Amino acid sequence: MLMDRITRLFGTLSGWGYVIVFGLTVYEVVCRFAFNAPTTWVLETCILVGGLGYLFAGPLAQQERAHIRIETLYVHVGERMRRALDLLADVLAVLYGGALVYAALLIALPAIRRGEHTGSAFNSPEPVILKSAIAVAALLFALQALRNLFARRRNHR
Amino acid sequence: MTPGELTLLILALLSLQLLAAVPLAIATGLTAVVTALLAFGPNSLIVIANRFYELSTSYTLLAVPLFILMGCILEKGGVTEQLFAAMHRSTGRLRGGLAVGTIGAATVLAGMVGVVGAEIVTLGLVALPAMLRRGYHKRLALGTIAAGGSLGSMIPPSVLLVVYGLIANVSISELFLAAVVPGLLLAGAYALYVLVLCRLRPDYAPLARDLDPADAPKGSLLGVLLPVGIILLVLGSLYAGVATPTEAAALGVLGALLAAAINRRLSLALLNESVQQTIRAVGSVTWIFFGANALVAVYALGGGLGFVRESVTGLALDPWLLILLLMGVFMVLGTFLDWIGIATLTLPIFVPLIVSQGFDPVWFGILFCVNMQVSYLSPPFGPACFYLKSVTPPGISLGDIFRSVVPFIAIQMVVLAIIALFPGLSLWLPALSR
Repeated sequence: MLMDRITRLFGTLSGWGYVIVFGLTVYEVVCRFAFNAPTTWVLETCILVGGLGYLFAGPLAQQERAHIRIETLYVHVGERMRRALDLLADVLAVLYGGALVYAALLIALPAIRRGEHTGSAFNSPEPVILKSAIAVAALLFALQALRNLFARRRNHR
Repeated sequence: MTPGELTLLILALLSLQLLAAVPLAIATGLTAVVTALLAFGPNSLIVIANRFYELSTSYTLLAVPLFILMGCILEKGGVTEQLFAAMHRSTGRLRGGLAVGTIGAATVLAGMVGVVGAEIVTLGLVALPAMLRRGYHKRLALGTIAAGGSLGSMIPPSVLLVVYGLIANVSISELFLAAVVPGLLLAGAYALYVLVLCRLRPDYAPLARDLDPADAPKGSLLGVLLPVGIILLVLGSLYAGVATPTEAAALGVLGALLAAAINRRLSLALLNESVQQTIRAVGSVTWIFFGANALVAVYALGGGLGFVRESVTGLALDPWLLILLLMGVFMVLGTFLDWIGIATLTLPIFVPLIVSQGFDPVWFGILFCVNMQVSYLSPPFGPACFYLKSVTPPGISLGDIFRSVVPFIAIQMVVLAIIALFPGLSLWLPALSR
């Protein structure tokens, strides 16, 4: 299904982002320690790539139903009740994702309008990208929860 | 809405959702959303978005995925296996030797990894199957891993101590030194408990009839040298002032890759698997982290912080009773809040309070640390148990894990009392270095 594939693509890419962060950070340490020539761009790039990673890992965990839940009561109830609880979890995830999109737009739209930059020596547009990414990741999170909800209903027919 | 009402609303929303098995990441975040909407209106949701933004731009937080990646590579590269095998061989003739070896390996791993999630995931993938295969009781196996793995929050490099140092304005290297003896004391107490238990209940830990061939691979010297090398790389770069924690973590990943190469296991497939595992762990942990922090931010906005502070200072207590009360607050909060939430919420109030009563903030930091280990294990929010659950075979429920950690929580309480009554245990090493 297309939705699953989009979520997985974003998730996998953000996972490899941490390999990039690792490589850049080692490069920075070598530059600074061995050549006494610290860079201006590694730190901000790492923060940007790492930040995207956290955000898109959430929808991926939603797709894989890997978000951690407390099952103490869940394991003791019957099949029908479990189905109802699963449904509730998906509906709440859709609501949470939706609210998060709205919340993210509250900070992303002003950042885009102002063309917000970090204001450092490197002065990257990291705030614009990351603040927008929160909205995109939240949207993906909500849509994936919706997709899970319908997939669950189909499976139970 | 008064802070008292706000507190009740948050507790009600959160506990209802958690009982209904709503995932933690959603329950904490949605509680933040609903509370903000009810108390302050739609525009206040900006507080939640800001928490997401600030946390995702935290450079120090980047150490977490890097340490997890390092742990995954170490595990897939065979290093953890070798360390574990070396520990097993040296404890092989003992009843319960596998569990004692696991605690030993956990202690070395704590020095190597320093992030509880990564350590427990690693141990859960390596030590748990080994112990279950040998016929160890699942409670013993699970409890050993959850408790041993939590040592990562105490034995340096520990992210928890770094955060404490920043909030309490205490030297981080002094905190690291102060944690060494209490950390080893805790590990020793766990090992002692396992030995005594196995003596009393031999069925919990069957002896191997023959030495399992899987337990006796070659290259035992390598198994000890590689981990020690990585510890020196990570800790050395930190102490020498060459690297920040995040940079030290990146060097750790480099060390892990080198170790995998020495073991001739380095490949693109290994890296890809490690990346997949890392992002899965990052996804299920950071969204809880973000949601819980957003909730704390909304609570703070509603005056919850001042509400707690006034309730505590209004009592005018005996100094030691105050310490006891603060520990109690940590314990209670620890059952439903993550340590970063507890640290940011309480430490700015508590540390000045205990310093004004003549207590040492470094010592208090170690007490806080042991307290947070209890909260790592205690239900319903015991993160160590959730980390472990994410890698256990399907037959093991979260309830099994929570039951397995009960005796270890009791041990932590005893050690906590010892550390509280004898401040010298924590303070002599830092004093020596001054």
